[in-house]
Amino acid sequence: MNKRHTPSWKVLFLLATLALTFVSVSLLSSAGSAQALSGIGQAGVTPTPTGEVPPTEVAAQPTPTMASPHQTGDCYACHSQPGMTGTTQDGATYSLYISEDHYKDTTHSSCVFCHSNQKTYPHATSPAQSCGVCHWETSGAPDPKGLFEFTLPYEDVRAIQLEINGECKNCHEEVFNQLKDSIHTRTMTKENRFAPVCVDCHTAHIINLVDRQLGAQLCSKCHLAEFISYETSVHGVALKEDNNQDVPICADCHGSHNVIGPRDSNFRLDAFEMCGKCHADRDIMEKYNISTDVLSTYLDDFHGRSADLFGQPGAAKVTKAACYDCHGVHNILPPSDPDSKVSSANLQQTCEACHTDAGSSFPQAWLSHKRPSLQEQPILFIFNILTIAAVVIFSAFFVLYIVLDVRRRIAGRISSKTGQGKS
Amino acid sequence: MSTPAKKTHSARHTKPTISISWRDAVDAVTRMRTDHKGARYINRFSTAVAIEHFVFMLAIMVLGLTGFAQTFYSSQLGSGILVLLGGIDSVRQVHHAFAFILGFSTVYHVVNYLNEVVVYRRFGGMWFDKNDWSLLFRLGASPKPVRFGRYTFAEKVSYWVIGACILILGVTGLVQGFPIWAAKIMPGAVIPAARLFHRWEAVLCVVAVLVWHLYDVVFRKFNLSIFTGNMSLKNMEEDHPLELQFLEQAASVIDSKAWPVVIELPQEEPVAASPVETPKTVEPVEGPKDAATESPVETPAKEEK
Repeated sequence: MNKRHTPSWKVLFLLATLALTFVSVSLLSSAGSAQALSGIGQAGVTPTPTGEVPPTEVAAQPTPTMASPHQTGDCYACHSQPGMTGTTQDGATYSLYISEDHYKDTTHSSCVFCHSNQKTYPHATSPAQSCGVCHWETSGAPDPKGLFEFTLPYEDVRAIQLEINGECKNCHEEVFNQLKDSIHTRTMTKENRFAPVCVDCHTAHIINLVDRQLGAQLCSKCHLAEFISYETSVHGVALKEDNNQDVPICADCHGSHNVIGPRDSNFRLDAFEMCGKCHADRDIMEKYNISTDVLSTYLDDFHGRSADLFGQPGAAKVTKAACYDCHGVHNILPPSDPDSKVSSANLQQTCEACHTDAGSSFPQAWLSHKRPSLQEQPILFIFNILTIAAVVIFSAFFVLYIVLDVRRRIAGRISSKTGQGKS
Repeated sequence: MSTPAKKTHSARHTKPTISISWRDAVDAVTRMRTDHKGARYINRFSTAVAIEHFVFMLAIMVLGLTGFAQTFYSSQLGSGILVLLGGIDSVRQVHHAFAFILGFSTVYHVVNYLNEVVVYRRFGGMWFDKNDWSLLFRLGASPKPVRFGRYTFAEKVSYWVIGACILILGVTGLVQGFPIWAAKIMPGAVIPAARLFHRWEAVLCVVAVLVWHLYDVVFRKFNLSIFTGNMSLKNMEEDHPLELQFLEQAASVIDSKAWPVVIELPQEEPVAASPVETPKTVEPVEGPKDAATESPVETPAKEEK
C-alpha cells in the first residue's frame, strides 16, 4: 500500500507545481506584452512584428519607461528615445533615435531585414550597455536616461553604413549585380569608402525616388559643380521651372545603378543612343519643334559613322566627336542661344577643340544636322541629284549596250548556224 | 604603246597614206611572234603595262571592298569585311594605303603617257575617233561590224570612265582625308560635297568595272592578254584588225633603207564603212575578223571562245 501511496502523492505534487508554474509564466508574459502594447499605444504606433528574439530570461525587473524588448522584439521600444546616440571610435556621435514619421513611413516592414546584426537583444555590438538600459540599478547609474548614450564598436559612421548596405543584396541581388560595373563600385574598391552605396542615394529608411526633381538633386550631394551646370542648361531649366517630365535628369544619361564613367569608352560609344533615345523620338520632339533628323544625319556623317562603327568588333580607338563634344556636357543650350557651343559665333571654337588649326571656313563643312534639300542646301542638293543622275545614265548606257550586243551576237550565231546547215 | 602612225590626209578623196618609222617597224617585228608549236601570236602589252594593270585592278578591288564596308557597314558583307580586317580602323588604313597606291599608279601612268607624247610623239590609241561613234549609231541597227585598231570602243569606254572615276575619287578622297587643308583653300561646303561625290563616283566606278569591263573581257570573250601580254592571231583579227594590219605592214618594210616609209593604205576608208567587201589587203585574215563582232557569215566556233 505504502509503496502504492507514495508515488501517487509525488505525481500529484509535481503536476500541481507544473500547473502553477505554467499559469504564473503565462500570466506574467501576458502582462508584459500588455504593458508593451500600452507603451506603444501611447506613441500612436502600431507595432510591427520583427525578428525572433529568443526569450532568454523571464522578465522579473520592472522597466522604467518601456516594455521589455526581450519578448516583443520591438526595436521602437528603445529607439523612440530622442536622446539615444551612439559614439563611434573616431569620436563622432550618431543618433540612434528613429522619429515616428521615419518609423511609420519606412519602405521595408522590418528593421532587422537590414539591421540583421541587431537581431538579438542585448545587441551583439554592445551587450553590456544594452543590458544597462533596463537593468540600470545593477549598473549603478542614477538615471536610465544617461544610459542611452552608447559607445559603438565601429571605426566611424561610414563603417556602420557600409555594413548595413551589404544587407541590401539579400533581396535586391539583381540591382547589386548591376552595381558591380558601376563607376561608384569601382571607386569603392579603390579604397574610397565614401563612394556612394545604396543608402547614400536611397537613404536609410524612407526610400522613395519617384520624384524627378528630387532625383536630379540627389547627385548634387557629391557632384555639385555638375549639378549647377545642369541647372542652367536647357534641360535643367525646363525641369526646375516647368517641372518638365521629358527632360533628362542625371540618371537618364548616366544610369542609375550601372553608372559608367564619362571617360569610359562605352559611354562615348553609346552617347548617340543616349541622346537619340529622346532626340530621335518624334512624339517627344514634336512638342518642342526639334528635328528628329539629328541622329540619322549624325550617323551618316564621319563622326557618327565612326562612333557607330567603333562599337563593332575589333575597334578600340574612340576619338571621334560624340553629341556632347559639340553641344556641351551638362550646360547644353539650344543652338539659337548665343552662349551655346554650337551657335554660329562659337562654332569655329568648338571645332577647334579637336581640329586645332581649323580655319574660319571649316565650320561650313557641317550641315547643322540638316539633310541637303532645296531650301537648306540647294547647291549641294542639286549637286547630289546630278551625281546620282550621272551614275544612272552611265549604268543605263552600259546595260543597254550590253543587252543590244548580246542580242546581236545571238542573232549572228543563229543566222550563221542556219547558214552552215544550208551549206 | 605602239600607235598607228600619223595618217596624212592631203585631200579628202586622195588615198590615205601611212607613215611607218624605223621604230614602228622594229616594234612590229619584235611583237609578232611564234610559239613553240608554230602558232603566231602578237605581243600586245609589255610587262610594265601588265604590272600597271594588275596594280590598278588590285587597288580598285581593295578600295571597292573597303569602301563598301565603310558605307554599308550594317550589311552582311560590310560587317564581314570589317571583322575580317580587324575593325574600322584597319579598314580605313587599308583604304588609305591602297588609295595612295592607286594615286601613285595614276601619276606614273600620266607621266608615262606624257613621255610617250613628248619624247616619241606617239599619242596612244585611247582617244575616241569617228570609228567609235559610228559603232554607236549602228548599234543594233546594222550587222555590219566596225574594225578597230589598238583599242576597241568598249576598251576606250572602260578606260575613260574608270580613269575619270579615279581622278574624281582621288580628289574627293583627298578633300575628305585632309579636311582642314581643303577648307583652307576652298569653302567648307566642299567637304560634304566631296563625301557625296566620292560615294556616287565609287558606285559608278564599280558598275563600270563589274558590268562594262567584265562583260567586255570575260563574258564576251575570255581575254587574258592584259596578264599574259599576248594575244592569238585569231583574236587579233577579230578584235584589233587595224592594229594587226599595221603591224604586218610595218614588219614588211623592216628592210627598208630610208625612213620613214610612207605607203598607201587603200582599204582603210572602205573598211570602216563596209567591211563585208573583202579588200585586196596584204593580210589574208580579213574574213574571220567580222566574226568577232557580229558578222553572220563567220564560223560559230570562233565566237564560242
